[in-house]
Amino acid sequence: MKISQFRSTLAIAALAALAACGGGGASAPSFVPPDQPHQRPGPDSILSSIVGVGDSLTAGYQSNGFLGATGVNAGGLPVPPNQENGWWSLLYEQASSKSIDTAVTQMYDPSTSPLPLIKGPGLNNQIINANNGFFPITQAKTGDVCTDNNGFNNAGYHLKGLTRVRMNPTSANVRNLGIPGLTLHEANVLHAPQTDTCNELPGIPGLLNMVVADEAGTFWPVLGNYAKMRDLTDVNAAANRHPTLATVWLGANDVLKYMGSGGRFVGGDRNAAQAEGDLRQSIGTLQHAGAKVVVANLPDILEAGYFERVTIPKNLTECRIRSYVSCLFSFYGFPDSLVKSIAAKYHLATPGGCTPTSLTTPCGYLTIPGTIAVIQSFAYTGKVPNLDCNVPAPGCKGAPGNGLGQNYITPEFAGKVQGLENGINAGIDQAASAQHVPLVDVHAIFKGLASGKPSNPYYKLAASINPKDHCCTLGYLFGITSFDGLHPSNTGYALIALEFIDAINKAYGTHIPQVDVGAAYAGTRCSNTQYCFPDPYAPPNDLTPR
Amino acid sequence: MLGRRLRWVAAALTAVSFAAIASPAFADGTPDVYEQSIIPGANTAIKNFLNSQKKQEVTRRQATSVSPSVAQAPPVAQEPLGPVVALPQGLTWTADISSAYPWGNIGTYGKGWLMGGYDLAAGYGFNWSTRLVASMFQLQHYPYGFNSGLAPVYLAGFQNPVGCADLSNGPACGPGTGRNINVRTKDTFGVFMLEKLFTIKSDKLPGPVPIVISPTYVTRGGQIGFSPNNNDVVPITYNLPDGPVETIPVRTAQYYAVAITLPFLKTPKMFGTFTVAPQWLVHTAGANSGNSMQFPQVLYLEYTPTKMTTLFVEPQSARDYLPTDPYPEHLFAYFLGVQHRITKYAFVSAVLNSGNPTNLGPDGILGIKCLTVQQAVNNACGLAVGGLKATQIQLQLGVGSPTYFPL
Repeated sequence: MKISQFRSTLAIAALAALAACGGGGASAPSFVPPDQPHQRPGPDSILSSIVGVGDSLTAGYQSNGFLGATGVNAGGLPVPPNQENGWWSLLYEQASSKSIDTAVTQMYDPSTSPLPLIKGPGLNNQIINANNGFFPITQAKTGDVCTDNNGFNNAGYHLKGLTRVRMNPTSANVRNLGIPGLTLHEANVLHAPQTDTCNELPGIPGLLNMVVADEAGTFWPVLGNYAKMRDLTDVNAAANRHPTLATVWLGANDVLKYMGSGGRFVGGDRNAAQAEGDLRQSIGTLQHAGAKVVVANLPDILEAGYFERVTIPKNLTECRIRSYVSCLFSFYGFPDSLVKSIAAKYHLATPGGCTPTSLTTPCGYLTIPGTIAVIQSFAYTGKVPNLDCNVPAPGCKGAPGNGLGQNYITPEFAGKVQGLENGINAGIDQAASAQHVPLVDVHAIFKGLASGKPSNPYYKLAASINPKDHCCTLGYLFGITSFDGLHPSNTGYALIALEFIDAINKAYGTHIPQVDVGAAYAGTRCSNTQYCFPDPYAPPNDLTPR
Repeated sequence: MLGRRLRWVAAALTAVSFAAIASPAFADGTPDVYEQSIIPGANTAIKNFLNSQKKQEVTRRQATSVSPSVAQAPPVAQEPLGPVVALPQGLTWTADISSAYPWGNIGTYGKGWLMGGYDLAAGYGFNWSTRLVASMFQLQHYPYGFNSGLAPVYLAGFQNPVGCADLSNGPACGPGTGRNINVRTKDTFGVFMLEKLFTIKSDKLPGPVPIVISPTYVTRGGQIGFSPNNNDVVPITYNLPDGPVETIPVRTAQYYAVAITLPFLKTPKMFGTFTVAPQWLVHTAGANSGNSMQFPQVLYLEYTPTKMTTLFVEPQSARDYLPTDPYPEHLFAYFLGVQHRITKYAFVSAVLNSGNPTNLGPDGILGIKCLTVQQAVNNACGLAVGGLKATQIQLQLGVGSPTYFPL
């Protein structure tokens, strides 16, 4: 699950000159659940061979970057690894029969890791702290990300680039087959990348290249060790390992590609029936190979920090729970009237109120790229850029509606996006039910986080991790998502791992020790500080305007 | 006599033939094999045989009127009054050049005369009932629907189209680009067959009924306008959205057939036959999913107002099975033609033919599938084709012995 436009937008939107707030290093969390006694499963259990089928969420993708190496820096700024901090890695470590120290060490070790570890500087363009504090943020690669570092990203499009981008190019251990950008259907049928370059292609409208750039650039880096397999697909590669347990989490890109294209890309699964059909095929293939399967549904993406509402919150503390344009604008001293004028210009306003996940009264949003474009322009020129331009700037000319999906989301379009997601989730539910496999209700996690209700167990757990430093809630930069506003932080992934482990234990009678979410936040799961470090996307902060 | 006996059949079958003409039909391949090669040879044999029988009967009547005592003798005891004439004996041949003009909704790009072609045929008759024939002919056409409308564009990995292509080269609709696809097509057929005439005799029949059985081998290839190598090798796809994109010869196939032709009408100016021809592919290719026996049927009816001119109509229920077809096309086709001999050894003809398959869904391009974005850039995406409906008039100028004239 990732958005290509994000990298190009943020590349020009470094906020280095903007005032920072909060800052300082992470302190110990005020709440850390007690470590549970590890009841290690026996070697003959279904946990002996786990594989992961999915997209960026399974891959451990964070902050618009895909990186496994440690000690990477860009311009002197640290670029934290993310693959080892995804929920799948946590599940794998927890389910291993080893101590956490050993399991984490092996996860980082290219010779033993089940991950397709990516070398530095990482694929795509990771958003990082610009001053080692919290704000501003910037991107690891500057200029043309396709040619940066002698074309590191472009090497990912070729099988022969495997030795260039992978720490363990000849590994026979790769079991996490999450391919960032992958859709439900692609998991079953995509045999090779749809393009061999991250460069723009002449004669092809940008949309077509954009919607396949993600999976095309990560297909070989993930599946390169399976290249000689007959009828290679992500699911077939997983089945080829004859797993005992397989996790399948897909569908987010079917929604995001539609959303990010402003509704112009309709190639992904479009309804519950298609999603169910594809997922049932994936499950069936894995079951046929002998695996127990667990699947997950999707969170409401419009509740993620990537989507900044244009309504004005009644209480500024809501900025911690949900994401509002006015929260970020107020932080820079921009008036609420600026939000209202932008909302009016792009038909984002909902005078009668709105509900983010409603099909009948949806909300209007600026996306994070759109929000940053406005902040950057208004801070330096006092003018609002034209968000319909491919590169928003004051006075530029863009066809009305051109920025839909990339820079803003109208209420009408938000309703369509939500409708599509509802359909995909219905299909996932139906497939799980029909195939008799447990369903991990990730949707419920994020629904609970978005509720802001202390009575909700997910919100209660997350908000209690470090309440002194306002962590962790679902608002943008409040610790649950990484800097791209879509992919979870270390803490967010730990919450998801918690739910996966719970579902597997209940469905299959296993005894996988639960993950310590607080330790994932604080970086205390293991003793090696190179591997276990404070969540770089959830440092103590308070962006709430005072 | 046989002709009189079959007139009532002619009336019924003529009605059937006109019904067939009124229905959609095709002219894309296998029907032409019957129209150009198999049927004419068989018809010639049957017609000659029937003419020969008639001459013998006339001679016999004349003899009877002169000598009543001879007429009382049983007919079966009589010796033939002249040599039997059926298949041409010795060497016969024809050669012609041809060109065609397509009709129908083929877009502006398809308008214009099609690639020219030529036809050659040679036969050697060993006796009145046995002949070997080798022929080749070319057919030009431009299928409907290839150059008009919008075709969905699929990209590998996705369940639904990612955009569309405007086949009229208009503004692009979505990620696909507008394009003109030159599908001017010239098919070349090679036909090798043995013609064997048998006669059926029965007390219930007024005379022997000739039947021609023609074991036949057909090989075909072609040229398509947008093929980069001036042949029929182009990228295709099938089983959208997940089928493969293959670059294969899409108009190439080989068939075995055994044609059985029998007459139903013979008058001084009219003649009609009916042919059935079980056929099989020599081997499957491309999208072909099986190779069960197909059973094409051909009706032929001609009118000869003068010795120099022949008009004919030939409705067919034919079968074609090209590498782009997952299963055999059921073709309803018709031919309307006129041939005129301008000298003893030269002739001209004009044939209007049309038709399309009834079991392949929409005509023309059903969709375009690209394995990669680069394929879209290079116009190398595969075309998923449905029915190949086409209508064209073909003009021929030839020398030798045209098949529609009595030899």
